[in-house]
Amino acid sequence: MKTRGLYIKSFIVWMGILLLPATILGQVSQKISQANQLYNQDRFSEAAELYEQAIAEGMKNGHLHYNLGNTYFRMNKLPKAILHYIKAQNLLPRNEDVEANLEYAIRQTEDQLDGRNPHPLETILFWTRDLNLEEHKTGLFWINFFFWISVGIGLRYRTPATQSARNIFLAFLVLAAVSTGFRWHKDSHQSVGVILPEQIDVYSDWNTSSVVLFQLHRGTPVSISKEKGNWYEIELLDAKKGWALKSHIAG
Amino acid sequence: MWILASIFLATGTARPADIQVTASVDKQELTLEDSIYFSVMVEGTQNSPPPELPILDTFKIRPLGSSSSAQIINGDQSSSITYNFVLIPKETGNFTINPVTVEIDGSKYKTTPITLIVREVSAIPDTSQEVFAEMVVSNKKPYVQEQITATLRIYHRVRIRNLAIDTQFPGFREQTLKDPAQYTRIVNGIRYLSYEISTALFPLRSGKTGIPASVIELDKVDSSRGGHSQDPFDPFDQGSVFNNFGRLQHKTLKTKAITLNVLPLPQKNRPQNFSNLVGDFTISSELSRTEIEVGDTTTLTVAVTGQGNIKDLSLPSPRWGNNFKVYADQSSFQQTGGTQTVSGKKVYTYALVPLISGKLQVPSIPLSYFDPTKGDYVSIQTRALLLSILPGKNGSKPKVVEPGLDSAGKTGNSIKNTGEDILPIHTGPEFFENRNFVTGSNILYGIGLLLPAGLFILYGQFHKRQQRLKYDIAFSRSHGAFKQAQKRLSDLSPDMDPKEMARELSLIVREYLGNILNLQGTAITSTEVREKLQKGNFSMSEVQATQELLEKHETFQYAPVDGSLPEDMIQDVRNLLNQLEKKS
Repeated sequence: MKTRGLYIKSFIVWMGILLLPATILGQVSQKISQANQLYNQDRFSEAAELYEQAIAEGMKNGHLHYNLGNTYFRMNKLPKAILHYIKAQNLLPRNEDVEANLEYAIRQTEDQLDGRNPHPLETILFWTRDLNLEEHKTGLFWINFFFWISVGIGLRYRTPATQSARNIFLAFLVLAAVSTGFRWHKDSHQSVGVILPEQIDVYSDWNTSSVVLFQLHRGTPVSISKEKGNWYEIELLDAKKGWALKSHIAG
Repeated sequence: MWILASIFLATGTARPADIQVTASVDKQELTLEDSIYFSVMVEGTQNSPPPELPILDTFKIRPLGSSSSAQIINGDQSSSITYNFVLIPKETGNFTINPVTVEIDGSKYKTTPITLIVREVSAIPDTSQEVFAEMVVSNKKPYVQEQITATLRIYHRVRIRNLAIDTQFPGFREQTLKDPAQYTRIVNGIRYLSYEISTALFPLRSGKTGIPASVIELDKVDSSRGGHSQDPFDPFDQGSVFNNFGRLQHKTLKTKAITLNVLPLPQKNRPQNFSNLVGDFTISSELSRTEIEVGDTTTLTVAVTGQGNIKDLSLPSPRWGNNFKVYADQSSFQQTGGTQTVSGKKVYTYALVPLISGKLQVPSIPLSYFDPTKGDYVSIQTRALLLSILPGKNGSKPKVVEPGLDSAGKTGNSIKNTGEDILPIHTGPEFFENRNFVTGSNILYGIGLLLPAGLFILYGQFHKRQQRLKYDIAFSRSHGAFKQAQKRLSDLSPDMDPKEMARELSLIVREYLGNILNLQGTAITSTEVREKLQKGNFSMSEVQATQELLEKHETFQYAPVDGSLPEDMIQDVRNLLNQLEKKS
């Protein structure tokens, strides 16, 4: 009887663990649905608050960032809108709506410049732009699975065909591993910021007494390459570099 | 005329008698259009550092390099180095070139000052007029944004080199016309070559606007010193290597400043959609496809061509209505102007995605501009275009990007997603199904990645074992020996005849030993068993026990017995097999 009771308790705990995320997800989905309704009623600040709450509760979803970008755009908070469109683009790299709204938002800025500097390896690993990290990981998972299957079959049936299949899967596995590693590195290390004030000076060094190299305006996205004290080193698409105050950049 | 200006003494102590420093100029009186050659010669050494020139704010200094020489006359050795400069005056007046300092081996040598007089150009008229320049504009009363042409002409009868032109057009937007050209022109009966540079100017504001004097610096080739032809028209002399033999004489030319009266664009009749376009233009439009399905894309190309400030054209967004979803591409511009006018073609492309079926009219696109020749505004527009829209298959969603291919499969204009307003939010529940919501999924993912490799290792071991069982007879025999013996022991019936039982037990042990030691047959003696076991991994006590048990079985088989087999004999066999199995 004691053992049976223990089984029942374990079953309840495990079911709880399995169903907890679904319950939380249900609550967050409800919040997003409510935020969508508020957006459609032009109650943008309330909608933005709910979207932000959903993100704070762990929801990592490109459509959510896209909706929040739209909300900030309607609130005339262009830098925040662009920042969330960029986050949405990172999660939904092939989504045409995200791309269209990001381009449109950038066109509303004074600089009309997407200053994000692509990683040099992106020229070679060009497909990594069109797949998000989760897609890369899924691809790697399945290629890895099929590779080991092919190795197993090759062990059982040693024929030229099985050896070729194993080699092909190995090549794909290496490629998938490199792509996933690169995408992970890019997502976790390559920062993007958006200029907050109407206009900022970009200096040659991380102090205001250095030379002003150029100026940027509100809403321009830039790549952040370094961080020192209260300063970020920013990089633009045309390899222009300079230092700007952290408080001037949302990232 | 070279004037020896001074000779200096050393202020230092190192061989003052050997080193002399002199400064000289080729003339002391000049105009603003002229320049002078200034030389500093250091005699007595060839390793002098460059001289420190005094501050000369009223002159522009151009270094011409240095030259050194060494001579031996009647056994006396002399050497010198000369540093050459060109001084170009910036203003008129009397000026003094203060002493030049040269520091050699810690000793400082100074020249004496040289006085110069710089006069206005008119003060010493250049009657020969070998070189002169002028700036002409095509229209001195243009409208704001009307294109005019400013042409700088440099007339020359002698060869010129090292041309440096400084022109400024404050208050105008500039646009370069064709590359500079050279013409032959007759001025006051004298034939000149005219080097001409034309610039298109667009006045930015109305009122009096000036074009300041342009400054042209050049070097005249004074071939009288080089002993060569000075005819710039000489076809055999142009650009030949012999040109370098002529002495270069620096010259600075200035054009006259020009004042323009820029007229404002009239307020009267100004169209609402006027966007500062001034000139003469036409507008046209065409569709890539006129019959498409709902959701398909057709490209509307709007081309504005003409002469004027077309590069500045910003076509106002047309009113598309609610029947289309429209994505505008970035415009392209192609300049096609000549030497005097700016003209070109600006092309706008739009991807149109019809949202409903039926006959749809693409609205005409209006354009207004100011025609300076008429002095009035002109409004034109594209013709309205008709589109036949068929119902979409399966209620297809509108495609938001033009495929970029025309019907022939060739790459067409690429349309980027640049809508005229942001696209709506995503509201479908499918958008928010977050499969990666469970935290710690990275651990599961890692396990998922490693699991196939782990399973493969297990499978590899299994496969290896199977292969060994298949091909390695000794392994295969020893593999099942214990189980087989155990089974046979279990199958023994207690009702068996004791002798038969002893024979069976002996057989089980021998078969087991034969399997684990890979021996053929079961007719092995206890002595053979002893030898084989001793070669194996078995201890003496185990060997001894095995031998004793086998002998015991033999005794039981052949000796006369009464009653039954001792019960512990089967157990003894079990114990022995367990013991041997552990070692095998």
